[in-house]
Amino acid sequence: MIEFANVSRRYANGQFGLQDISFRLPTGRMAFLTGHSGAGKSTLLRLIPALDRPTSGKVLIGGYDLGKMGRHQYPKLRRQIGVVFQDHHLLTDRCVFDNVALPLRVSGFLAGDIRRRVDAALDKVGLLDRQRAQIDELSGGEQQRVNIARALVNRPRILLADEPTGNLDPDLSRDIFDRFFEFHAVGVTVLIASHDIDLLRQYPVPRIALDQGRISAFEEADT
Amino acid sequence: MSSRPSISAAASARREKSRRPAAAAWRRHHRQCLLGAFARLFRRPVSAWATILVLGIVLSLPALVMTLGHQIERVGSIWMADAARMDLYLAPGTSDDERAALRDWLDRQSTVAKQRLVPPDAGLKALTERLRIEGFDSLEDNPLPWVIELTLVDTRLDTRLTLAEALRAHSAVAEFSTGGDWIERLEQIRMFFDELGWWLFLLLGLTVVFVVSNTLRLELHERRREIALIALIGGTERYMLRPLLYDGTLTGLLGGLVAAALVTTAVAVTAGPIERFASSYGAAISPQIDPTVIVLLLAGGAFLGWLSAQGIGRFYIGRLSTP
Repeated sequence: MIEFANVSRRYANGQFGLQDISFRLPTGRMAFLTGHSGAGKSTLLRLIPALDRPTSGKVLIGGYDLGKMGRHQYPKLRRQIGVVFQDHHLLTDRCVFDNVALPLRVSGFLAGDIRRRVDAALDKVGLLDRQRAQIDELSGGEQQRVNIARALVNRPRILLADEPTGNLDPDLSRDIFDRFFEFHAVGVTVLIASHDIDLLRQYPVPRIALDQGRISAFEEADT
Repeated sequence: MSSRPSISAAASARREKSRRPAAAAWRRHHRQCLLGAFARLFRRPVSAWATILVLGIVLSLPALVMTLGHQIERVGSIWMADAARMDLYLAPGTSDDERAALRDWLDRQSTVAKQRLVPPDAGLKALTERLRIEGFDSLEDNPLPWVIELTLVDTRLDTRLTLAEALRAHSAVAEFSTGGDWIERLEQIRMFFDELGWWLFLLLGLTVVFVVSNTLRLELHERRREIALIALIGGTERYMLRPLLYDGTLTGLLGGLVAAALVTTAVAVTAGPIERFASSYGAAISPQIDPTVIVLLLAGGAFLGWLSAQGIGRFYIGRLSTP
């Protein structure tokens, strides 16, 4: 469960990234975070794996108040959250396999388990035959699928995605969203930030609309 | 009651099973970090080996000073027996009774371990043999005095000074040698070099920390995207720090090894001239390196490298991984 209670994030220059945000996303549910560029979507997502701290208010994950967590507890929290980054964050000096295997190596998995899980994750995103390819050799869409495979390989309880279809064509965007929907179907809590309203309307998922750091609307799923 | 041991055994087995993969992964990461540290030496050879060479030169300076102190100690120890010796030259015309009285008095002194009376004839014979001069022993008048050779209980300066003070009251003693003074001074010079070596090691150790930290800072800067990513996906600080600790320790260890090679070479190069110089004074001195200095260079270099990695790593990684 993800819960925000009167959360605000104010930057050093005095500007608010988020202002008085409150919502609750129960375990196993899926939601979209919408809004224009600069509305505060990325700022909100960064608070969930404790990559940033709120200036005021509380962020609770699975009932735990992140404000009361010590820095030594962050790794454990982050291992339960898969993040699909907006700018991929892939290591260009390594192959596809090594990029996807990174969360498992960090978590202390053995070589056999790593091989099995990476194969499964790459198979899900349709890149099983490209596992030895270097990142530079991949197209934008393939890189994004590596990004997704890496977020999923650790079988996280929560999946966050920040503009996962940024510069992709509509068919590929739909394909990637279909996969997110599949993960939600197996019980993963999913929160996706996107400004692509047309694409989001194709899925029966509630939407949290942000505008200038505030929740401007909470729309239930279109049926 | 009877089920308790089996539950406990099962729980223990489960714990053991879950611990084994974690330990294997931990060992694997250590192995990868070690191999990675060696690989980096060849990936950027100029930068890596330049740092190691600088460390070697910096560390060799205190080691050379300590080695010099060690040579002085060895030279001193060759003649250390002299420091416990004292020769009393008796006044001309002393009678047998006066000599006997003096010897009785010396027997009662707690600072004197042994004494030996050397008559003028025996002294002249020994001198003739030592100087190898023909006809020296056929002199009509033997100019040498009666001598009492003393062996003192220890080599301390205080012992000699105490006895010397008491001897001045004896009219039968014309002169006495306090031959061990220069060894005492040599010991003080050795202590000075030893202390200077340690101070230099401390001061230049700080230099080593700065040099290694700067090299590792560049390495961290180059890997900042990877470190930030590992932090984002749940890597612990210890996990992120580990490769850096191997890098720092290996760099420091190799720096210590270069320093040991430099000091060994310096000693080997100077050994010949020193041996020839010493033999011209009738001494057999062969310069050697104190094994402690080599151990200190290797262990000290590795420790300073590790310390640098801890300092810069914790600072940098903390900034990259904490909101």
